[in-house]
Amino acid sequence: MEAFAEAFSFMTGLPAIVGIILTAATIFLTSDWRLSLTALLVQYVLLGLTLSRFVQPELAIVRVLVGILAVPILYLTARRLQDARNSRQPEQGEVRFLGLPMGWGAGPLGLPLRLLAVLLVALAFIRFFPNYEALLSGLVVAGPSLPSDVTVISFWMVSMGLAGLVLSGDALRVAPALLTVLSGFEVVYAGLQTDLAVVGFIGTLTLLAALAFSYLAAVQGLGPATAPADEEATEP
Amino acid sequence: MNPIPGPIILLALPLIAAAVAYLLRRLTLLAALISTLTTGLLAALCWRLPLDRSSFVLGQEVGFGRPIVVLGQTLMLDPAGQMWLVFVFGLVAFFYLFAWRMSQGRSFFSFSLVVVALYVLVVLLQSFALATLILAISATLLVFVLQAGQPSLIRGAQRYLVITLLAVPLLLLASWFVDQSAVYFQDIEGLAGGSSAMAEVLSQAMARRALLPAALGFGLLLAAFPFGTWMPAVAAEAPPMVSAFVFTVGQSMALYLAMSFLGRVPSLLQDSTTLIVIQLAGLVMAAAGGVMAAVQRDFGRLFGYAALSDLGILLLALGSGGSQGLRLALLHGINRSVSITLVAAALAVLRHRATTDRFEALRGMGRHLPVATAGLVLGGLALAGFPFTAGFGTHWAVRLATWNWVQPFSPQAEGSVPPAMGIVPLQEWLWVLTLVALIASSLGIVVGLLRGLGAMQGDGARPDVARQPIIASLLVLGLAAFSLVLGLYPQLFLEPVSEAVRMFSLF
Repeated sequence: MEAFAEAFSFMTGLPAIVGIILTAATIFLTSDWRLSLTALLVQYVLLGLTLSRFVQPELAIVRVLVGILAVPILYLTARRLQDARNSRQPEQGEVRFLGLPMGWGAGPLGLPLRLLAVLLVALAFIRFFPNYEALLSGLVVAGPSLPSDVTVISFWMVSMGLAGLVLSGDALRVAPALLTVLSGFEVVYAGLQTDLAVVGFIGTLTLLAALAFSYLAAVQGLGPATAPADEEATEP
Repeated sequence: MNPIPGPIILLALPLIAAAVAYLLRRLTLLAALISTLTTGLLAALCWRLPLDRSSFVLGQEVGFGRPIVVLGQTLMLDPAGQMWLVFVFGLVAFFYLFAWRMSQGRSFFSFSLVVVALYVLVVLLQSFALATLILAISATLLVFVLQAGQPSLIRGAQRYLVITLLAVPLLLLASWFVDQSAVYFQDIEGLAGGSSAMAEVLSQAMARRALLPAALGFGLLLAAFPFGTWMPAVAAEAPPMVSAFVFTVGQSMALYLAMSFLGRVPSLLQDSTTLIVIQLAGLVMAAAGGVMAAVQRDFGRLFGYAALSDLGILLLALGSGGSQGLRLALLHGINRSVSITLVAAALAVLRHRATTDRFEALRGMGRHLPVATAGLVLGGLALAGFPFTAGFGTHWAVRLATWNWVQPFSPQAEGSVPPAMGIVPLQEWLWVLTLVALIASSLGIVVGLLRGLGAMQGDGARPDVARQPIIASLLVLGLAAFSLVLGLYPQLFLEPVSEAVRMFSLF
């Protein structure tokens, strides 16, 4: 375990933090399942590396393994649905970037709105982060306090995940967003709670959540007219 | 020979029945029979067997209250949990019996039995954090039952899953605060010169930090405003009995978890801020559910909004405070379960025969399916708190309690607001808004029902629709009769409910 930790020690600091911030933003911005699931996988690995700084390496590895198992569950479903999605050709002249409609006329949930949302989350981060850090430092009565970079990524991941949940209706977009929220919480909670039973059940919950979303995505794809991503039907 | 511990029976029997029901899922009669007998038997065992001594069941010695340790976790049934499981098993047994005649999806029996086993685990576990995680795991399994293999219809199941999973971090955090307050207490008391009184005050201040995450977490789990949008979506898409399962048994487990949490920090339940937040959330839910129910175009969503509104009444009962408030909330929980089950059973018959529950396609159904129509109306009226129905007694008591709560804010009682109530937002308008909300919660549901009933009128023969099913209609009639009995004798379950309140020892 120590050899493993040493081999990746160069990644555990700033590179992992920057990587997590970028992957969370990518998951939020892209509607291409390949990109979002790859970003989710990378995020789990980087999260494991970050966690290895202040929890036992075994727990960090369990966390990475859970992510490595959860992502393929979603991947297999997404792959099966690909053919159905392929049958829906992009409209003539529709410009796409990262799988998202680019123009303002593409609907309210296209890339421009998501970029705007990222900007708002960044502003909220600047405004509220000191309060959030004070809250988190208040959590730790005994023992070492949480490193500030960990509080930064937890805030960012939870914010990006929640924004993704608000703006997405497609199961394959909701799943990475929700898993990002849970990971953002876990990175803080792992420093507070080291009970193996709790860690194990959180891992089980993550895997079952991936399975449930995978099922929902498959059923959504079985419908007569698959609703395109980001275009959830309005509720009557 | 050692007596068989109760937790093993409570966990193993539903899981074995789930495996058998899965293998027999194409033989509905057998799957339903096994599921009903298993849960019925477990309800009877929970009702009859004492916890403080061993007893004999079919020649086997059973220690129902005997704890077991699995993977370092102690599993033990306490008296409050035992009462709760009687309710869960009893209600689920009826769902299975009804699902024998009206299919609720092939996975219903097996998956819901596993979910019930997980609910048992929630009751048995001593760790709140683990119980929260188990409840969330049960939600991931419920998704399969809620969706029931209907192509494209995922909104209700997805929203339910997302809301439940979002509650997990908040509740784990709240639990951690409470655990820390105990550590804090010991640390300060252990310090040289640290007094018990000072440690108590500081520890309570620490526990109060749990209030916000706990309120948000339980708000999400109990579908409190504005997190209740999944309820109408589930009611519109999922098989009706599955919706009823989630609205009654599922939400009762969330309530149980809330009680367990408050049992660890009883001071939170006596805090005026907590009670005001619960009251306001309940009031908004009751009013919003009622208003939305009035404008729906199908019975599924109408059912969802009516259940949401009724859940608001339950929160109002809980927020009225003290052991009386808890007693009222639990009694209302039982009455609403009967009403919800009645509506769901009638809706299942309607959807099965008419293949839709949209008002525009139901012309002539009132005459064609009279029992289902009567069940829908009676169940809906019970959810609205109409006189002589199951909901009336507790609705009336809750309304009186709420009205008494806002009386000090009325112009006639100016200046007599008790200091304990603190400053309430918009307090000069509170009594008017409360009055409007209480009226809207009932009137909205009644208007929605009248619109639906109006759409079902007409003399046109419906040769395309089969006659009403005999056994399912008899079950609906039985439930309707039970609802009327509860309307006439609202104190029927008062004794077991009072016993349950005493066992929770929150006050």
